[in-house]
Amino acid sequence: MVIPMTDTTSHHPIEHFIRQYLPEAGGVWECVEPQVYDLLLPETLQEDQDVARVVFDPEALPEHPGSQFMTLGTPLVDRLLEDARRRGRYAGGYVHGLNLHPYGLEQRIRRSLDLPPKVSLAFTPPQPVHVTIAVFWFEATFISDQKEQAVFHAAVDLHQLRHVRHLERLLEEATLSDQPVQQLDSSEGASLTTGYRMAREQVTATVAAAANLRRRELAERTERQLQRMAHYYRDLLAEADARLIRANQKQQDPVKEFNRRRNIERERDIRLAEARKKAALRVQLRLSNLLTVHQPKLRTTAHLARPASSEPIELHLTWDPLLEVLEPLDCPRCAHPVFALRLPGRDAGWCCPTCAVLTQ
Amino acid sequence: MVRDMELLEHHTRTAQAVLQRMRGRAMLCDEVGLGKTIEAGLILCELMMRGLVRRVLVLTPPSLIEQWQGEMRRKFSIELTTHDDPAFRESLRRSGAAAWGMHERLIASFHTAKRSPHREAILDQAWDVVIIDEAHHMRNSRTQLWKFASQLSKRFTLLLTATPVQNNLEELFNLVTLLEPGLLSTSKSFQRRFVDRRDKLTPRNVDELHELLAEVMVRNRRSTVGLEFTRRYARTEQLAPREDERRLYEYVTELVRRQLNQPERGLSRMALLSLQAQMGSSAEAAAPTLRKLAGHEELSAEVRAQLHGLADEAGRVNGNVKADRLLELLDELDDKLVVFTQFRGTQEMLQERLMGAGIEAAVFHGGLGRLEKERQIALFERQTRVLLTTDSGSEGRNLQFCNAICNFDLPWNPMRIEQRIGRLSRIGQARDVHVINLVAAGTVEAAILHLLEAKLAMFEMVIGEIDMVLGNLDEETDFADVVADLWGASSGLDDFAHRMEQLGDRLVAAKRAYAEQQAIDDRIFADRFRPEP
Repeated sequence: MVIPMTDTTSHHPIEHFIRQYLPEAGGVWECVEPQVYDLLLPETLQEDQDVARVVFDPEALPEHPGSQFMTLGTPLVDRLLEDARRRGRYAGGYVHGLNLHPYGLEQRIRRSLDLPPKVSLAFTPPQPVHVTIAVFWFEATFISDQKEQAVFHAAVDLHQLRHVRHLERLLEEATLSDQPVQQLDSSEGASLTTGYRMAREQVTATVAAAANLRRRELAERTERQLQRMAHYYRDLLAEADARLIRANQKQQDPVKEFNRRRNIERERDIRLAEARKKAALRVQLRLSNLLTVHQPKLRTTAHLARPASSEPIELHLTWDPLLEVLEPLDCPRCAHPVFALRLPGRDAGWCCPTCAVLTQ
Repeated sequence: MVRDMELLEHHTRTAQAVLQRMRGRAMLCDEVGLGKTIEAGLILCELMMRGLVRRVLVLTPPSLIEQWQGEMRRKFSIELTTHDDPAFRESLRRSGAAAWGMHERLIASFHTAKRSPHREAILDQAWDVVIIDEAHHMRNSRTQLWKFASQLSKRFTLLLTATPVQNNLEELFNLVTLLEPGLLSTSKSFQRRFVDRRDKLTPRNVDELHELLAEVMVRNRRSTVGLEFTRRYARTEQLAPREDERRLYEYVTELVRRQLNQPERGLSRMALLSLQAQMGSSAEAAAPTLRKLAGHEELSAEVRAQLHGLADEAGRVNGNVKADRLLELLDELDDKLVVFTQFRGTQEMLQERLMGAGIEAAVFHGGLGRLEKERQIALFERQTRVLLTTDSGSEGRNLQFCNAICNFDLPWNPMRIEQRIGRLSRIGQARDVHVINLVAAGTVEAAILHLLEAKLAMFEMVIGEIDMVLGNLDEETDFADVVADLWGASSGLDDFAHRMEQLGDRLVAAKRAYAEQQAIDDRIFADRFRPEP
């Protein structure tokens, strides 16, 4: 009777990672025996040898001399992890499955806008275009006497240069693909660099708030600790001084007491320095991943006309088929996103209600 | 990233509390057997993975060095270097005490660390983390050890002890001061504020004291973590040896004792003690050693001839009373049984006897390859009733599907016996565990067993407690060495039994002291220091 080996389907996390990752990265693994593998590394990861024998169980090392033990901190694992991180740093995707022919679009747009009375609105046929949304993930590391890492994200619509908040719906796996389902024109928009600056500004504010909170806590705790220590060592030194005086009075050799005092001072200096060192908080913020999502949107131009006016006003409108809403327009005067449009002067163009009041 | 262990909720909660709330400075005071070492390993592992720690120093009593190295290697893939390792010795030879600065993760015994020139070299280093196991050895601030620990330069510190207080509350003050000087103010102020004048073990202003202690202390208790082991039942069968076995045992014993007491004996103490232990196991275990020693040219011709004769006699012994009894036991038992022996010779003999009786056994020993080890364990789990195993290599293997073990022979070190029982009597064991000890009357092992069972009731103790009791003996050497010394110094078995009685009295006192310590700690700390979920 052949006795099967104990269950090997539950792999060590690093073993699991290698089995999943290596084929994706262009390498190959072959299981020699449980927890022992030959790895054919992708070219980018090869160093002196292209095939590496690795073990995930330290007990297997003596049976496979020349093999490498795979645990966190060993060069090969670090290299593979770094490679995986590098590969995951940038990706692009397309949203598909959206309704690009919504029923009654003109009426829905009209309902979304708050227009002055007696104006007419005429639309050109809507054009679907790909709008780029850049999603930035930042890794913030707070280092003091402990290390905490947090990931913050910010998404920017490069066409409108606005923050995007509905990430969950945007990144829904079922509607994302790495190739476009239909070829559409790309809308013009700001560069990734501009989007990055905008995203970083937003994340920095959040990280700064988190860092300040941590810094305050740390400072309070350290201050308390330093006070306690200072008090403790002050008392010890006072005790040592008293002993020194007694030794002098008894005409004993004071060297021992001097040494004792010096030792206390030395220890105090070490402990206080340790505590102060631990109180410093450093924060590192780095961009860890970037995803550009191309989402189809419907663009249309509307002409806003007053009965007595000669020139209609041209409005560039964008319908978001993912959220099924009209995107707000930027007020030409204050740049605030608005749905309410006012016409303050005869040929003065349009503006938001606030700007209109200011004009009057 | 851990292996070969079941991580329990209180382990992870403790690690989180120490890392987040206590910022890496803590006293882990769990009750015995709840896994303080695992908690410390988890914290260390996490600190290393976060890149906060590079230089590690672990300080333990000498008897725990090997265990720590093994556990850290097996469970956390952390390699700790001892000052006995060849690589460290080489650094020591080349660079002297500066070697302490050349290795990143070191483990040393208290005794080595506090001794010159190591002491100065260790104090000269900046350590990222210092872990002190059995930290109750540092309860007294007037000792060299406490002073040494207080002078260490360290970012993170873990003190591990199940019994932070024994004689007075000042001991607690001393331990906490090692972690965070000033947290409990100065000694005088602590006495005034927190110690009852009439009783040094009774705290005052308990809530305030607990509040301060909670900044650095974690204490999990079996009752609060909901971890209760099943019961253990032990029985010892003392068997009268067969005539040829008895005669051989007496001859070898006489020769070994005579050799041990000779200043220029030509044989190492270790070789002689090993031979004696093999005789306690079986003639088959001792025969190859007798033959090998007989070829030792430094011995006199007379001794060599004696050894030759004894080797021949060992080869002629036909049968083993304990093996006979084991076969009977297997008839009586209807469940699986793990049979432990220290020696391959005995294991082979038992395998042959079992085969002769038509009983198939899985065989496990340190010489097997890794996969063969797995196969043998699987064979035992799925097919055979018996696992014949030596002590080495079975750590970390899951044997909880079985609930009976037989100590065919007995290591002189009770910690080893405990490790055997611990293979079955552990988390995941659903049934009561039965321990059967087989021992031949009139042997060293019979005397040891009498002491451990009758005096200490060791087999009913929680895993880890025996270590605490032995620790209270205040011996600097291993318990096995203490026994060996007594045995070497005794004139005969009766004298040895008498000396063992005296040792037994000391053990009983040590056990009582341990029970008192436990009661004191329970009274002082209660359930206040469990890490919050």
